[in-house]
Amino acid sequence: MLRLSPHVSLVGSRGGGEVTDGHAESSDEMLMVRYKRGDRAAFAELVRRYERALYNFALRYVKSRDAARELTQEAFLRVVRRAAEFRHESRFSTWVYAILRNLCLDELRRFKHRNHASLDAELPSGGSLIDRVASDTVADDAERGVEQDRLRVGLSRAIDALPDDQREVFLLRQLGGVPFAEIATLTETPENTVKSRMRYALDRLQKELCEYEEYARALR
Amino acid sequence: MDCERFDKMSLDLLYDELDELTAAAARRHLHHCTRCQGVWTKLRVTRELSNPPLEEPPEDLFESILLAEQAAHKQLPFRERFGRTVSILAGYAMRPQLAMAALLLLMVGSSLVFLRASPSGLGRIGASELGAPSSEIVAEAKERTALVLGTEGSGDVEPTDVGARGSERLTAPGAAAEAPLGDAASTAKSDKEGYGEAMSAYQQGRYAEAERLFSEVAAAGGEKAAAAALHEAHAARNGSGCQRATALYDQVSGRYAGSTVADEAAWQAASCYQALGQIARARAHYQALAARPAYRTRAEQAMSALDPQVALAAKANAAKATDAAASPEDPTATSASGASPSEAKPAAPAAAKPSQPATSP
Repeated sequence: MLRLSPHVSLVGSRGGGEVTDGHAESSDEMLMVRYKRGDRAAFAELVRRYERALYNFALRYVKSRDAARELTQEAFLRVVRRAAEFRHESRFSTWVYAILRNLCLDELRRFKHRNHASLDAELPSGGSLIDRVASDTVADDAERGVEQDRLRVGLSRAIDALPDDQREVFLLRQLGGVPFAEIATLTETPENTVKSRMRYALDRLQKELCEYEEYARALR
Repeated sequence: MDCERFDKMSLDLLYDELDELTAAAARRHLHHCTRCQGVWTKLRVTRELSNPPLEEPPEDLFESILLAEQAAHKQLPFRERFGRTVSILAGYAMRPQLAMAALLLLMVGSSLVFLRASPSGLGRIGASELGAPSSEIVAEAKERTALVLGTEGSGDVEPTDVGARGSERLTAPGAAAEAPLGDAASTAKSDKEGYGEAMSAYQQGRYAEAERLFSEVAAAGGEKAAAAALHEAHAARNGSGCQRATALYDQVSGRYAGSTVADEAAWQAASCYQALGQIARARAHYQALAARPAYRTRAEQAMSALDPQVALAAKANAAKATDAAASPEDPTATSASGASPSEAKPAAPAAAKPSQPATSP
């Protein structure tokens, strides 16, 4: 257990855990304001909310778990260092995704010629990420069928196969929940272009998913 | 809404980024348009099924982020840490409980300042109606040396001249002792010079000037302050009369309570009140002075001398009352109104005397 303050405790359910205080109902922006006023439990709540999504965004971007871990941690550290710069002009999610995206771009530029382990590459424990996702899914819910696992594997491959600009927009909107207008701001691209990229990405995914029976069933 | 417009906003509808009106219009179009229904269904299902599978982050990521935050917080530049500290303090300061506590402290503090600033005893002016037990007045006078001002039956309290000028120079005798030692010599020197100058004016009969000069010396608060204040009252009495002097005597008596100067001022005030015909006030002062050994005999004599004055005053009041009651046609009443009650009484037998021989044989 890591104690932050006398009235806040972190229960180590999975290395981090849940923040047991009254921040659960607060908006991200309000948590940020509280953190700027010295409430470190508010920051812990923000980490709890965004850790998983940011890590997966970075993972899809740089395709390396170690790099994704470092980049996620660095993104939160930049939030700490730049807390004073945060204004209510944009949402916290947009701000933190913009920070992480820039970090990912820097990372990709720096290691342009380095071969990172692809998501399809073999992991030390055996099996690719896609296989692991599928197997985890099976382990989590035994009732789900093989067809559904195949769909997820296919989806992961389809997302990885997207062009970088389309994948970026798709991940920001679908995974990060960042509105199109704010994606346009942080990528410095016109909003219509952002929407076009999203449309192309969805069309591609739709074509990839057509062969799966679950997709056809959902359409019915 | 047509199909072309629907295509443009289908993505916004898919991710709930449309306003209510436009979204309702788009749904109405969907309800009627088979072509757009097909497009929309494919988009919706693709969105629902294309949530990227999420991998769990490393187990220690959460803790390591918090530890890194702790370390980073310590490494922040001083300016930023100071800013955050100020922000934290401001956050606490803006809480209503603290604001209320600060307000309460401010009120208590300011009231203490005002209480300490007010002259002790002098600001309190007691008033008692005529006929109140004299023991109460005496007790009051003993308890606090501020003098009790009794009214002369009219019920109104005569305003004392404890005005702005008085309050400015109301410095306690101890105040001079608190002055810095370095200034003491020069203060004493100027004090003596000023006092000598004032006394010179007083002796030469320039009472207005003397009053002003004594007032300045008294306000300076030196060792001559008490004597100067008393002489200021003397000068006022000589220059302007008792009406003005009584207020000053009362001030001196209250300010230097317990000193010989205060007793002398009270004595002078009493004599002034006596001269003004305000017997109750004079008596109150004499009674207060009777408690002082140096003034006991004189005060008792003065009080005994007040009794005939009271009798005279009562006679005068009775005569006035008779005057008011008598009718103008009655010759006896007219004659009675011209004489004192003691003179009117023998007049009746005199008038009756001639009738007695007429009835006798």
